[in-house]
Amino acid sequence: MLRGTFDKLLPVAFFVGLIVLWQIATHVLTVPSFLLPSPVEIAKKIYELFDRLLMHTWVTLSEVLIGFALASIGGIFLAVITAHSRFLARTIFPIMVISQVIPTIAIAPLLVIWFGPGDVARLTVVFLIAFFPVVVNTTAGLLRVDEELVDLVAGLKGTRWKIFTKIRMPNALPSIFTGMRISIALSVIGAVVAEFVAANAGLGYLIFSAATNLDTVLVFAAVTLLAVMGIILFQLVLLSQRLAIPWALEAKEGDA
Amino acid sequence: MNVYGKIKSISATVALATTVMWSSVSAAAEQKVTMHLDFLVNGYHAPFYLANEKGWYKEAGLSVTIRPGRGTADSIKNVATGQAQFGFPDFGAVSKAIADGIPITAVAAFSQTVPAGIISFADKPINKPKDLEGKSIAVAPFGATAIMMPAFAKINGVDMSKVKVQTYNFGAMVPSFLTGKVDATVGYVFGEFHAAQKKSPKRKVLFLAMADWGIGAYSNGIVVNNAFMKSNPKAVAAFVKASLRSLKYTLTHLDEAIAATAKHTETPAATLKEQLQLALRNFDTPQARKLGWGTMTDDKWKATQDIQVEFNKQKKRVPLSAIYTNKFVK
Repeated sequence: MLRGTFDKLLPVAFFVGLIVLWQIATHVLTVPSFLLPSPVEIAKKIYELFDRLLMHTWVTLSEVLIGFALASIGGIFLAVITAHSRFLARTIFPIMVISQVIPTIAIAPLLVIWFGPGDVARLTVVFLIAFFPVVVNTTAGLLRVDEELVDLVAGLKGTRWKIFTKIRMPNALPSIFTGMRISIALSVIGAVVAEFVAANAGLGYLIFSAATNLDTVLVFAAVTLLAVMGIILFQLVLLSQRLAIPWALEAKEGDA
Repeated sequence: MNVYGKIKSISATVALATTVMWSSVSAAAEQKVTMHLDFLVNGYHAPFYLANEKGWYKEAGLSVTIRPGRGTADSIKNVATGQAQFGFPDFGAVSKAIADGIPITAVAAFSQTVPAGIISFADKPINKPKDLEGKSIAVAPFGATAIMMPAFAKINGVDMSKVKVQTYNFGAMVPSFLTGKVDATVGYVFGEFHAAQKKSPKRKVLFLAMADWGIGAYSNGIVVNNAFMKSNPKAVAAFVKASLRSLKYTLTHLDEAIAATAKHTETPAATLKEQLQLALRNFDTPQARKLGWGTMTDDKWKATQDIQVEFNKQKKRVPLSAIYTNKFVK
């Protein structure tokens, strides 16, 4: 029981220790705040600008959530169709791989030229950055099914649709969630990249703008909020996995 | 009147009423245009935000959306593709873009002189171009300042082999200067110089303006998409005139202009005001006052194009009449 509490507190304690060390270091080494602000300065900035920061956080959050939803649904869809059709697998899959090899930050300005500097371009950026892990993991999950089970159901006159919905998909769920755990983190990155290139609000935009003004304190304040957002969203995906598929046995990832 | 007659007169009345309502609605609706700025909101953009705030664009029949940009190239691109009707890029880049066939035209100059310069500390000063020799300087990888640097060196006979040039990305130029990694950095007066000044309360920071040392080019001004200019000359004239009116007003009403601008950015009003005051060194020049705000000259455009041809690989010279027009400024 004590061991459990210690396990839970350790990450928090370690993190707090790092923060304290950081605060002491900026003091002792008299680091100028435009280079590395102290945790106290950052906390003060967050407090001062709380309302504005909340507004920007909400803007980024909506991009993340919508982009993540598109990436997840789109990713699952692409995995399903390429798993079931050799033709699609051989035509679409290479294109998906190419989309990952070309740095999205290079494509983003092009997207803005084609779609204008609005939501479409931004969500496309998030999608491009976040969808691939869902595709790869969903595909792995779909193909990892016990073929003997499939044969059994087929032998009992089960239709392809029944096999898909009753065997393959449930079997693939753990893998799909793995893909989504990776994808949610990438969705946050995608939203920031999108905002760097084409946005006038949001935490990514704020980081870009503050960096231009050498307001490193504000940069860190925005980064902190992004980190908090990312952690919470990641935990939410983990929680939804536990709720959706409690029967899936997975090795505990450092008690996360 | 029989039934048929009644129907005719009622429909006529309805038709008339609809036409009257429709035309009054259309007359009230302003023409929607977008101005795509060269960068994020800075004090020097105040005239545009002020014009919106005071309703001057509306008076002129325009509904203007002002969009912060991501660099002169971004501003030019947006105007070229028609995503925005107006842009606010550096005119040097405009000269090169037009030579490359990009369909834009310059219609009003705001920054009469280039706001670029050399930033150094007073205790290790660069007071004249030759002082650069034997020192190290941070330069940008691209952009207006990157092109101005070799032009400035050549015009003033600076031996660049004696200068240690370090290329830094934009965000790192001022920090590297402030931490002493380089002796100086290039930058804009209302951008890098202002930031360096603010972050160096104990050591005085100097600015050597390239415009004072032979760089006679224009900097930022309004450009318009050519197709839009052709089909909507009235709207272009309206936008240019309202913007210039706002520029004039801004000179004597800084606080008002800044208040209008501060609503659209997280940058504090005090910072915006300082940026604007520094930018006015380049906006409010004797030539501008003499010729009239926004008016452009062949001489200055020639100087602008010359630098682009010699130092920025502009492939061919373009006749100045294809680059700019003063007809909307009058």
